[in-house]
Amino acid sequence: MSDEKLKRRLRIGYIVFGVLAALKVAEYFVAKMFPVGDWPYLVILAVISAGLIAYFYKHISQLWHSEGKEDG
Amino acid sequence: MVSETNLIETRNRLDINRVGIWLFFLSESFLFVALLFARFYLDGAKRPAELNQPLGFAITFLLLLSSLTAYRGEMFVAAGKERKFRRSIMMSIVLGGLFLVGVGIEWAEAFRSFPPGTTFGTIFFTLTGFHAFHVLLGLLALLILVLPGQKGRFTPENYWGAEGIIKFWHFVDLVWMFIFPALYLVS
Repeated sequence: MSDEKLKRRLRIGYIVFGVLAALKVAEYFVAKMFPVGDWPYLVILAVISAGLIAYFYKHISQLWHSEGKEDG
Repeated sequence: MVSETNLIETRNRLDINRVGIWLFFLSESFLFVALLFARFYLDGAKRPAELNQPLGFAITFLLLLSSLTAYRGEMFVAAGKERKFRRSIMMSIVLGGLFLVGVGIEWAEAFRSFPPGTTFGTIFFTLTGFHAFHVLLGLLALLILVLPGQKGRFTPENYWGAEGIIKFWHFVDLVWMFIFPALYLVS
C-alpha cells in the first residue's frame, strides 16, 4: 500500500469515527426528545452505526470483491 | 510459475478465511439478537432511573475509539509499518481495558440498584456480561498480536492473523451499537 493510499484510508477511518460519535450523540438527543416511543428512531440509528462499522471498518465488501480492500 | 500458483492459492485461502469469519460473526449475532429480543420480551422498554447514562456514553466512546485505533493498526500492517501497527493495537488494548473497567464500575452500581434477581437486573447482567466476555477474549487476542515473539510475523502480503482478530474487535464494537441504546436509552 502506497503512503498516499494509506493516508486516504486513515482519513476515511477518522471520518467514520466522527460520524459514529455524532450518531451516538444523536441517539442521546432522540432519547431525550421522545421520553416514550423512541425505539424506532434508536433502531434506525443503531443500524446505520452498525452498517458503517461493517462496511468501512470490517470491509464486508471483501466478501464479493476478492481484492475488496479497494472498497472500504 | 510456482510462485504464481502459490499467490493464487494464498488469495483463495484468504477469501475462504474471510467467508468463514463472517459466518462465525453471523452465528454470534444470533446469540446477541436472541438476548436483545429477550430484553424487550421480559421487560418491555422499561429502564430504571438509577442507570448511569453518562458512564454508558463514556464507555461507548472508549469502544468506538478502540475500533478506530484497531482500524489504524490494520491499515499500518497492510502498509508494512510494523511499529505503528503495534502501537495502534496497544492503544486498542488500553482503550478496551478501560471499557472493561467502566463496565465493572457500572456492575458495582447495578448490584445495588437492580441486582441480578430483578427482571431488569437479569437482562442487564446477561447482556453486558456476554458482551464483556467477548471484549475480554478480543483483548487477549489483540495482546497476542503484540507479543514480542510476533515481531515480523505479519507482512503486507500476508497478515490474515491480524486482520481476523481486528475484525473480531470491530464485531464487539458493532454489537455494542445495539446493546447501548437497548439498555441505556430506550424508553
